[in-house]
Amino acid sequence: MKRLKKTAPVTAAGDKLAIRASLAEILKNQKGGFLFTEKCSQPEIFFLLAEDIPVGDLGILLKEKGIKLKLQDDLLKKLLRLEKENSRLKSLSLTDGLTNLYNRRFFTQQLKIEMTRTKRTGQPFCLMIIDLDNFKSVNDTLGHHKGDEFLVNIARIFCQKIRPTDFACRYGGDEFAIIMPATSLLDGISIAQRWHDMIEEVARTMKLDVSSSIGIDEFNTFNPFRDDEFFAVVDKELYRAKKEGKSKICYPGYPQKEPSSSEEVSREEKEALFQAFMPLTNKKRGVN
Amino acid sequence: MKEKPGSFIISVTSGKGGVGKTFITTNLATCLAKEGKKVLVADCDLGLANIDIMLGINPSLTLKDVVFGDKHLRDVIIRTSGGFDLIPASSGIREMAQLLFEKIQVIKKMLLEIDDYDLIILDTGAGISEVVLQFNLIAHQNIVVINRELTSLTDAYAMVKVMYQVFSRQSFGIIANNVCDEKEGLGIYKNIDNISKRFLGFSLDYLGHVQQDNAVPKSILRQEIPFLTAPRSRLADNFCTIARQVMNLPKNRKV
Repeated sequence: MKRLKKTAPVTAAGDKLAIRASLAEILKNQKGGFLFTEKCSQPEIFFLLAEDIPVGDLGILLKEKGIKLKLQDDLLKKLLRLEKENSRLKSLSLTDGLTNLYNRRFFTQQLKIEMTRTKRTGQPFCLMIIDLDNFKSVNDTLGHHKGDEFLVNIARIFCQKIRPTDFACRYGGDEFAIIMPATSLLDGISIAQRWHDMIEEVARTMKLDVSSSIGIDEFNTFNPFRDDEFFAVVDKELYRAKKEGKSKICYPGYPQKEPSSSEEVSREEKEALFQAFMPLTNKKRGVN
Repeated sequence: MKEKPGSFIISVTSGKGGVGKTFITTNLATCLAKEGKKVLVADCDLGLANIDIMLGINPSLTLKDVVFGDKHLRDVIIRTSGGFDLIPASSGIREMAQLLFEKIQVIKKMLLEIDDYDLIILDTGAGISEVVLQFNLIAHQNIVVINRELTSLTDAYAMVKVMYQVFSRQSFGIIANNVCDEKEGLGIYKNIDNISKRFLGFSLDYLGHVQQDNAVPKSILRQEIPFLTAPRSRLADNFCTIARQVMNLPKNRKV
C-alpha cells in the first residue's frame, strides 16, 4: 500500500485523476487489485501504460472483480510489444536495409564517440574506408540483383570475421567504413589486408571481377582533426589507392608509386630564393 | 588526468648537407638534458652516421643490429657525455642507406613504443631520399636547419615543399645556423618564410639562430660538445633560446 502511494503522483494530471480514483476504489474494495500492485516491480510503468487505455474502459476493468489480473497481463504484453517495436525502429534507423551492417548515420555518431574516447584515453583508433573496384560494371552488365547479392555476401563475411569490438558500416553504394577502436596503424594495415583478401575471395567464388581499394589512417592524440577532417584524410588515401591502380591499400606515409609525385621547385621559386639571398650577401660581406 | 601519450618526436633535417644538423642536434639535446629533460637522440643518417664520431664514442651495437639483427631499439641505447641518450647508427653499410619501407616501419613502431622520454630528436641525413622523408614523417615536428648559403636556402625550401606536397605537412621550424648575429638569422628566416607563404600558402616557425663561433671547429676536432665546454658562451645562450622554442612547439601534427 505504501509503495502504491509513493508512485501514484507520477500519473497525477488531468484525466489520470480518474485512474487514480478507480485504483483507490480497487484498493478499498478488492484485495486482488492491491495484491497485484504490490507484486508489480515497476508500478510507474504500469501507471503510464494505463494512460493508453480509455479511462472508461479502465474503470470497467477495475470495477469488475477478477479482471485486474487480466489488466496486468494486457499491460505487460503491451509494454513488451512497445519495447520490441522500439528496438526494431532503433535498429532500422541505424542499420542498412540490404546488408544489415550499420548505416552512415550510425557511422557518423560512432566516429565522434571514438575520437572523444581517444582524446580521453590516449589510445589510438583506426578508420578504414573500402571502395569496391569495378562494382559498377557488375551492376551494369549482370544486373543489380547480382550486385546486391555480392554486397550481401561480403557483408555476411564481414560479420563473421570482424573483431567483436570493430564496427563495419555501409557508407554508400559500394563504400564501407570500418572503425577499429584501440588499434594502431600497423595493426590496422594488416587487418585491412585481411579484408582486402576476403573481398577478393568472395569475388572469386562468385566469378566476378571485383577487387577493393582501401584507405586507412590512425587517429591519435597528436591528431588535431575534427571528425570530418579526419574522414577526409582517409578518403584522400582511398582516392590515392584508386588512382595508383586500384586493388591496394594506402595510408599516410605509404610510398608513392612514382617517386616524383611532388612538383619540381620552379624557376620562379628559384628566382625568388635567389633574390631573397642577394641583399643578405650585399649587406654582410658574405663569407660564402 | 590525461595520460601523456608517448614521447614528443622532432626531426632535424635540411636537404643540403653540411649545414650543421648533427651539430644542432647534439647541442640542443645537451642543452635540454641540462635543463632536466629526458632526451633521446636517434642517428637517422643510416648510411653515413656520425654522431658517435662527434662525441668520440665507439658503440658496440647500432641501428644495424636492430634492422638486421634481433635487437630492440631499447637495447642499443647508450648514455652520452652530453647527458642525453643516443641510438647510434652505422656508417658505410649500403643496405642501411637504402632501407626498405618495411624496415623503416619496424624502426618507426619501436620508436613509438619508447614513451619514457620527454623528447626524441631524429637527426636525419642530407637529401630527400625516402628514408629521410619517412623519418620526417614519424616526427611530430620537423626542424629545418639553414645557414647563409644560397644552396642551403633552396634545399631547405625544396625539403619543405616535398614534405608539404607528399605528406601535406604544413608546420616546420626553422633554425638559422652559423650566422653573424640575431638580425641576419631573422633576415634569412623572413626570406624563406615569405617564399613559403607566397608559393605554398603557409608560414614557417622561427626557432632561433646559432651565432658563428670560432671555437666550434676546434671543439669538433676535440670531439667535444661546444655547449658543454663553454656553457656561458653566446652559442650556449642561443641554444637555450632554441630549446625553449622547441619545447613550446605544439605536439599536433598539422596537416
